[in-house]
Amino acid sequence: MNSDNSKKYILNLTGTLREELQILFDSLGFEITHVDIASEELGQEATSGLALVLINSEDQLDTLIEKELLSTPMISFGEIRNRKKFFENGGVAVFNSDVMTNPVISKILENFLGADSSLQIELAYNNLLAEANSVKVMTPANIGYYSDIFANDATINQFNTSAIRNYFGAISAYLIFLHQKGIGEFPLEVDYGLNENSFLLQVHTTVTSFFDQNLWESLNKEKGNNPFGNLLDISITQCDLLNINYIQNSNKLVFTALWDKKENEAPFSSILMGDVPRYRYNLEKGFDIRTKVDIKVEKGLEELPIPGEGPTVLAANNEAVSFENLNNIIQLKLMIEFIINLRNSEKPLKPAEELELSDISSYLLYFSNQEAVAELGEDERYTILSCIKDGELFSALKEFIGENLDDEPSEDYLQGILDNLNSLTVAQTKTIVGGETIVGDEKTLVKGTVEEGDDFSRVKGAGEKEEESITLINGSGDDLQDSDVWNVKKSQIEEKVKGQWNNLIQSSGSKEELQKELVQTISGELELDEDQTQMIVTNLADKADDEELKNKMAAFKAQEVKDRLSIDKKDQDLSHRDDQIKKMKSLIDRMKTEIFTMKQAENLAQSLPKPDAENKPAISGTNEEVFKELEEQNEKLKDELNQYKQPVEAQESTVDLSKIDDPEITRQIQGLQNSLDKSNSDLKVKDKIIEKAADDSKRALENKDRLFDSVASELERYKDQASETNLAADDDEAEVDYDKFSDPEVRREIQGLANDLKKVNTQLRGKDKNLERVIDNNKRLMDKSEKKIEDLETEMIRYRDELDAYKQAPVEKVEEIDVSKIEDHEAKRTIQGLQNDLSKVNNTLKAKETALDRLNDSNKRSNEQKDRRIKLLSDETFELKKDMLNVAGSDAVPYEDFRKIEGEKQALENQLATATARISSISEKVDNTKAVDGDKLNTQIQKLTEKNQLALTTMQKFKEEKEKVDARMRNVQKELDGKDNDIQQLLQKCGELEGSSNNVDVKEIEHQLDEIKVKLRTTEDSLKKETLKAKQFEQKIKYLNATIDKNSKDKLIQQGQGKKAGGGDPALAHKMKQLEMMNSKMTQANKKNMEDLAEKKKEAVKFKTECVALKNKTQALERKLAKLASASGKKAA
Amino acid sequence: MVKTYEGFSSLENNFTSEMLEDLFAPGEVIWKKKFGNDVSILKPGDICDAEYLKKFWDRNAELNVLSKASPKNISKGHQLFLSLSEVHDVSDKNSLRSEIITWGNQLFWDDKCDCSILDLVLASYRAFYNIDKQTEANLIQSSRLLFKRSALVGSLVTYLATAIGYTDFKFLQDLYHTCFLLDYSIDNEQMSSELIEALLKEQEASGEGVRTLSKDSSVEVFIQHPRASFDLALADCAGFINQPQTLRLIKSHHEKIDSSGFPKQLNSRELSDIEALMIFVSNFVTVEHLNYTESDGAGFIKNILGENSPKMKSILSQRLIGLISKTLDNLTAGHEKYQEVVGI
Repeated sequence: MNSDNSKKYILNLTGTLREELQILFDSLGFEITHVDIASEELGQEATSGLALVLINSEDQLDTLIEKELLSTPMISFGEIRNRKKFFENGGVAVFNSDVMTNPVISKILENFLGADSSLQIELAYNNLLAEANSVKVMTPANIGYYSDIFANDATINQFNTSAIRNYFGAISAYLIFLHQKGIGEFPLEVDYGLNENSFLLQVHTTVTSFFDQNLWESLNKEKGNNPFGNLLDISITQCDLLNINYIQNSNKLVFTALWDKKENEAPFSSILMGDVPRYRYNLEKGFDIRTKVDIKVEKGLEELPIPGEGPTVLAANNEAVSFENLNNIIQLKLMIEFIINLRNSEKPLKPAEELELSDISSYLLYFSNQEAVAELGEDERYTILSCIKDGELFSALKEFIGENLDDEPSEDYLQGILDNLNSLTVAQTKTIVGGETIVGDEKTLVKGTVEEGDDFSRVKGAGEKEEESITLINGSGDDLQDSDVWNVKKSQIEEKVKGQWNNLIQSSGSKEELQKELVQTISGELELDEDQTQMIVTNLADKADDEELKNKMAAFKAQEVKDRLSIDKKDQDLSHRDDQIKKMKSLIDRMKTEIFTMKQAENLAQSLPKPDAENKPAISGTNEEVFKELEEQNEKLKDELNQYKQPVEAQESTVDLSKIDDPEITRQIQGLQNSLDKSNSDLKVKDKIIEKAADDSKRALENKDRLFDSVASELERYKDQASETNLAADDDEAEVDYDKFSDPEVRREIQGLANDLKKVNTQLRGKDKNLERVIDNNKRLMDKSEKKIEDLETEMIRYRDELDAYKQAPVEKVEEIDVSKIEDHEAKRTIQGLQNDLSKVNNTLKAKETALDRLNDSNKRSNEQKDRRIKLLSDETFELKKDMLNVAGSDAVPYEDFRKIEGEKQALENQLATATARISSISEKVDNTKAVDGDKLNTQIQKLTEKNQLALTTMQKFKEEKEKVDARMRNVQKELDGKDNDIQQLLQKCGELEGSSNNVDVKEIEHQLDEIKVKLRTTEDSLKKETLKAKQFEQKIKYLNATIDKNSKDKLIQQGQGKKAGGGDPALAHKMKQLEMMNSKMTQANKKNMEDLAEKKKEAVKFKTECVALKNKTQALERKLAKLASASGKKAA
Repeated sequence: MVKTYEGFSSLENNFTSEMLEDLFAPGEVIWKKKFGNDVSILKPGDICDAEYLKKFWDRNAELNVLSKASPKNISKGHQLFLSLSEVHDVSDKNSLRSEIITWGNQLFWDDKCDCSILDLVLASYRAFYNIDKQTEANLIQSSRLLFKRSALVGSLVTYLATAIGYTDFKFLQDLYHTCFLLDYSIDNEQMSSELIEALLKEQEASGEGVRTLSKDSSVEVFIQHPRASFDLALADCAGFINQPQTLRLIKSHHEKIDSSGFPKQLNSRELSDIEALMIFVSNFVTVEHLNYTESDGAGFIKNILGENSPKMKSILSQRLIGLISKTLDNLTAGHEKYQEVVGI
């Protein structure tokens, strides 16, 4: 009710207020004015601008009604019997102040007056309730069950159980009525809590279209014919206090009832009515119109209608929606205008206030643009209804359109009209112009001849059923043809409009003028009169306007959200900036001090004699250039080095041994491949050694740095001592006894001199301190800068050494294979490639060794450099020690030292800036390198995967080959068996012939034997071939195994790299795992292949043995045949 | 009714077309290639697209499923949820609620037994899912990822709603379906990877999603979608929604309890328990939660309630923590009798 902290005024017509109330009003910032109800002062003036009017009886209410002073919300502290009258006339609460002693009630009133509400009772009544529970009432059917839950607790705690039960029954019935009318929803959320004296029960539900009127209807003392009529009255009567509240943002209707154990006999119940939306008020305001959802009523026992009329469903809603959220506002406006016009001729006219959504739907059935009607959402329908009921709202809508639409036509607007024209169909145009066709009354001949008639075409079908097949097409033929003609016309119109584009836009001061121009431009094309063309153009323009509005609203809303978010972001940024400013401020303060010191030193320097040329600062501002130069050199060296490294990395090409048939060549290649692998693995070992050496050297340098630091700190200590000595010298300044000078003039003179001396000394002390600070700063900067140079130099030396090593490394000869002897071109190429690779790898290996040596040298040099620097620093410390003695007795800072420091400072500051930039660039590079490493790793994994894939394919080929070999072996076996049989048969024949002298038979056998011998030789040859192939397979499988092993090794190395580069990237890990699995599968497959191969070998040996046996048999046969031949010869002789 | 993989005796089993009755894969579906490596074609909880799988079966490809879900758990949960539709008496409903809470308590509250949160997803799917084919196709076409996510959101919302006292089957079914319709207005044409990213980022921190959008038109679609989705769902989904008012929850699904959400910047004091629950779950579930494993369900709910991050502070109220944890932690508190939920 009052969320503002500023003073609010209350007009008290009740006389004296209870002390608790007075305190409460004071605490909420209310100021109370006491006026007597009968006083003449009580008029419009006295009641205007008030927050509340307090009364205590129905009589006072009547007086206010009489005096027409009802503009201010009222609270009555006395009983009001006609509650309906009270609330309808601006009453907000009837409060029995006797119950104020109850802290929970007091809190409810406080929340009510302070407009503080919450659905969570544990928050709203924090610390006031001993326990709280929540119950979800799912359906209207089991209310008794739920009331048992509360009654049970109430009984245990000795509250008025029957009152609680009755209350819950009545309030539930009220909510069931709302539910049935689609205003309220189930499930209900019920929270209840209690303490020693209070029992609190809160029910809430989401509502739509709920208004104050729905409350007044149920506040009657008598229900009449409608059971709904007194449900709230019963509810109020059953409890000590009922707070009815409405949370607008989330559309929650909340009933909070309280029973006070002590106040059971209270004379009347209190009722507080929160910000329940007022139906009339909303309409008058002209906004806040919102959808009422057409709730589907659930069928079932619990949904059977309850008796009585129930509440009135009011056709509006309280959920705020502004015009910005509506779609197709121009069309809405047209629809509203259309309905208003339609209603002008309606007889009998249904009063506007009685109109419902269904009426709007009926009116809109006649609206020309049915597509727009179909697109209407519920918000839009309610807006139409509300605008028809309330002219002011309609005016507001038109105003809104006027404010947001540009008057002047733009190119987008004209383009929008053309676009709309393009999407316009013939049917739509007919609807717009009221049934007329826009393509003219052209006579169209469709398969046949035009027989008669002026306005139609006669289309003939089949000859026999002439009457049925003749189709009369009014105007310009069928739809399809209309559409073709219309399309042509559209392009003609578009062309015409585009021809006059600039003229149309420039000559039209307003959109209306543009529309007129357009009508004139295109009316000739449409075969319509000007009015009809105007209708078409207006329709197109309306759509363009809608589009314009839509775009504007979208941009507006997007901007709104962005603004909100950007405010949040800005808040964060601001706090971040605050921190930054603080840091900057402290930095500026520090810098100010330094500048001040510098200035002082400069002034001092100017007062000193000019330096000798030799004494100019040793370190000049050229360090930046040195940095740059060093970096550039390093970059070049790095690039060069990478070029050298490249071929070594590229050597991992795969050799497909399966393409090479010659086993000797394969062996050689295998040998080369193995050498290459070994060299590569050596190379990796060297790399690791170099890396380790670099680490060792780094550690050694770090040790030196620590030593350097300790010397520097010693230097610092001496400086401190020097400063103390200075101060001590000042303190020891002898006091002059002025009294011994009798002449006052002399005494004054001497005193003046002494004071001057003191002043000078003080100034000098300050200068000394500043100088010390300058020296310290410079020292720090110098250290940083020198360290940087040193690092870069070391880096350069390393690159240079490595590069030199690459350049100078002697080319090591590898095992010579005379490739000229090899005929197989593929093998030759492979061997040459491998030889090259091997040479390169060996060279690289050599280079690495040299690089390692050089690195050791460079480390040595760095160490020496460090030592020299430490020595220098020690010398400086020594010098300072000496200076310390001088400082005590000398006022002047040597000019050369100062100039040196000043110059150094400037140079070092520049260097520092460069170094910082360099560091950030290096960090970036490191990040990039990391990413590149990751990519590289991925590529390598990809390569490995491809290799594995190749190996798998090869294995597959092996498998196929093996099957072929199997088949061939089987053939060989068959052949051998066949031959064996043949030979056996021949032997048998020979046996039979031994007894006979048939020469012809012997010759025949000889012939057959020859044949067998030839076949046997062929079989033997093929067996040899198979054996050879088996050998090849064996070698290939061995190679595959080597590849798999190598891949596994590579994988292990890359796993290491992967961890470095990707920091345990799960995707990489997954890929690694996949590779691992692939390798293990391949190993298994190879193992099987090997086993198969061994089997084949055994078979081959067996076949060979069989062959030999057969040969022997053949020879035996030959011998027998020879015998037979000689025997038969003898016989013949 | 549902055949699926009830008879599985081991984790890896043949995946056949008969198992397509579940829309979501019970585990990882693997194509056992004759040559070469096995290929994972569906992750656990992925949409089992019949057309997609048919291509494999048509070629006689061998598909196996490495199940992450437990048939026993799913079957039990399914039966319990389904039984809610068969009883009418409130006390019977409350007894069933008690059994459902106990079932979920053992699996997703206690971390004693290994189970997958996919068990809850599939049990809820079998019990509640009734979206018509056309709407389903639209939703899937719009974003498969969001659809898969909706299944988890829906199952968590329904289970937790049961825990805090909602026992009406139709209401729970509507709640489940509502979770699929939260972004219903963003159709296939409007949906883009940018919008999906925005939707997911918005869960992480208010405003983050909108900030990622480059076009004003996308911002408009984004900020309007709670209301537009409600309107559209109301018009389109009458076929499978029992009580259309439940769809109202769509309107507030991007609100946060600290008023940092949109469109109305509501706060926890203005929200009902069911609204607060929907806000919590729909904003809590991230893409990472969809990488289902065999044991991700153990103690899942207890763990999420214990999370203490700025994100959780903006979506999970103390009241909801109290309502859920006191119910799931005190199974002997007598809730089966009265259905009250200890709130404080």
